[in-house]
Amino acid sequence: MRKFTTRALLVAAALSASVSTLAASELNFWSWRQEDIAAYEKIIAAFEATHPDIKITYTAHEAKAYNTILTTALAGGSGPDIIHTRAYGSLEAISGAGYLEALDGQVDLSLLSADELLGTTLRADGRIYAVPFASQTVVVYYNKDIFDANNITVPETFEEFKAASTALKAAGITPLANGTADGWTVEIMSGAIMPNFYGSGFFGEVTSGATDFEDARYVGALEKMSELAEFMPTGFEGVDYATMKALFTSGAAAMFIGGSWEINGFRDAGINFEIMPGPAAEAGGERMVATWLDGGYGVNAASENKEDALEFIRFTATTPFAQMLTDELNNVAAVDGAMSSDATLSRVSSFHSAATPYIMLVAFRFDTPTGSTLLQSGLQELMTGAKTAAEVAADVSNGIKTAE
Amino acid sequence: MSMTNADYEKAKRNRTLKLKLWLLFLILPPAAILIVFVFVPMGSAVWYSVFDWDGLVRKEFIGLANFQDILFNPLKNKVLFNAFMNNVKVFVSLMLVQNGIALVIALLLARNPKGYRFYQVVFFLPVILSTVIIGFQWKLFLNPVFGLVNKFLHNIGLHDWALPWLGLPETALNSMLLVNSWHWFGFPTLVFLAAIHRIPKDFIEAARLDGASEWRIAREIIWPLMAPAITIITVLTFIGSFNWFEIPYIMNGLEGSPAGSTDMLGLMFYRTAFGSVSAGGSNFGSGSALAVLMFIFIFVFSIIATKYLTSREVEMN
Repeated sequence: MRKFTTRALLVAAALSASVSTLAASELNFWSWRQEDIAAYEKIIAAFEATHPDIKITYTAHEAKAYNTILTTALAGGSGPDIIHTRAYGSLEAISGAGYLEALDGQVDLSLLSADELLGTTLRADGRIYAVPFASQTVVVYYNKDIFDANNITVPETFEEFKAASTALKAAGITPLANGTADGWTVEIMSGAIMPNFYGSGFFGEVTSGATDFEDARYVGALEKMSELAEFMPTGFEGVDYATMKALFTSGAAAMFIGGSWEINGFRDAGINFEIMPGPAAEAGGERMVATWLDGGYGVNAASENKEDALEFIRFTATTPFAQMLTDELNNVAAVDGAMSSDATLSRVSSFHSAATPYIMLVAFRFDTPTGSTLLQSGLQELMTGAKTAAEVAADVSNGIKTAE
Repeated sequence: MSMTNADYEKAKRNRTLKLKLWLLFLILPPAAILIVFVFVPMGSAVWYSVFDWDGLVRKEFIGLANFQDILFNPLKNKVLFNAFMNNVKVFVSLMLVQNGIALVIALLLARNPKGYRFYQVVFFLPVILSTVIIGFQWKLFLNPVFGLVNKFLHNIGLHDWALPWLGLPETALNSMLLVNSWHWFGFPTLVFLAAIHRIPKDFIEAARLDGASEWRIAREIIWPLMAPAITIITVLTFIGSFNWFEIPYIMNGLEGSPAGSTDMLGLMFYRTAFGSVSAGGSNFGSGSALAVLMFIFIFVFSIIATKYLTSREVEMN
């Protein structure tokens, strides 16, 4: 009997020891950013230094499969405590199903703009389900060495842009690296060119229903877009994303229209490049860039460590966090107050004074078929000459009106 | 010591029991695998297809509304019809090109040319390569900027022929079909060759002695007698064509780019059920309904085709 008691005491002691080591809560943080693992580990270490009771493990899943992996886990009642969410339609899929904790009232969101919070707001209840983390911007990259060697001045207007492209083409250089084989890259390209023609008021009008995509401004913007086909690579119909990047980084093409996330890659490739916003419609006109929110940080509503997870989320809404995000990842942080020591990134931020939402992703990716599906296929037909701007506009407009 | 009757009976019973256990042991594992990995998923697809499951959470029972939506909603049935017609094109083209080439090669190999073994191996080699590798490699070959195909065309002076093969609606599907034919033609070749070898030599020799031409021998003796092989290859090509997914997915992506010209039922199913970055969220209900429709179509037509083709086969007695 005595032996038994001793044993029981020993077991109890062992158990309590293990419980006390568990007292620090262990949080799981899932993301699709495999390229950012090292940076997130640094950021997490900084958080843990001030919160010794909380331990966070960052797991990055394969980007393409991330939505499926996450939604399957959430539907099965598990999933991580902290969730790196996408924005807009993709976020609605999980916040609308009740898997995310509403953050307004629990997290100080005062350092975020209304535009950015729109990306993590559930339209049905108007509540915010994630802290926006970074925005992406469509810009025009140009190879400074090629521009200098051919005496090309950086174009301001669309006509100058075409003139520069004509001169480059005459010199045997492909002016634009962009192709149309991957539909999404043409949509990105439209984000640099079209806003300057349909203007800053169009987004508000088309989303409120005051106008539709057959609006003359939109058709006109599509026509301008189609004028660039002659400056794209020979066989651009078959040029995919990888080939586009290879053309630009090898110096075979002088310009590349793409997202601000390319900065790091192009820098690593060692090319001497600079960025500019898409060309203005006319001299002195506004040069707008399309931007969108890349995603946010949310809390699993079923998490057992909700309070600790919220503590980390509060941290993500602060300027020190935004500063780390800027320094470590070269992202344009959504939270205000971060200063970038990177000149290119600062330029991206400076373009935001004339920003317009990246139209299909921000407003028309909630129903099927999505605006992106319609526009990508339409742009492929437009650039190859299979359809006119008016026909493409009609297809997009009708598709969006009948989407459900 | 001799065996008594009772001993003998017991031994016999033991043997039958052993045999039964042995059979059970052999049948159970494959049966379990079939049930778990084939019948249960099939059943669950049917079950899911009658629910509103747009997004993450399964909502209420909606009967046949998902089927109605796919078949009669003008936006969706336009996509469905386009994908279906592309699958039909795939079937017809593969029958003509892939299996046609295979038949010609099989007929040539059946005449035991010099290097017969070598050719047999070479023709079969692409079949054992991974489809992912083949799709990726041919995507590089067909690249309009760096690709070998266009480089070759330029080198031999055919500059106008150097097209962005995978980027034009007129050439994208055909290019992928040629790649698929290159990948798979070795398989029907082998099946046809085996069928030709099964035909008794004396049939052909007798015909030759009677002065029949090679063409007549091929048409009137070899062709009818290899009918069972044709049946198998036709049905397999049919199933493969309507389930075609890997090559289009790898070479031109989930959206059937450019502008839907390479869209397939398989791609449409994937986009609908699992969603994609551009095409929007997942809809398991709708996706399952499409999968059920595809299954019914392929199943029914395969049975009809098998019945019809088998009835035309000649017995070799």
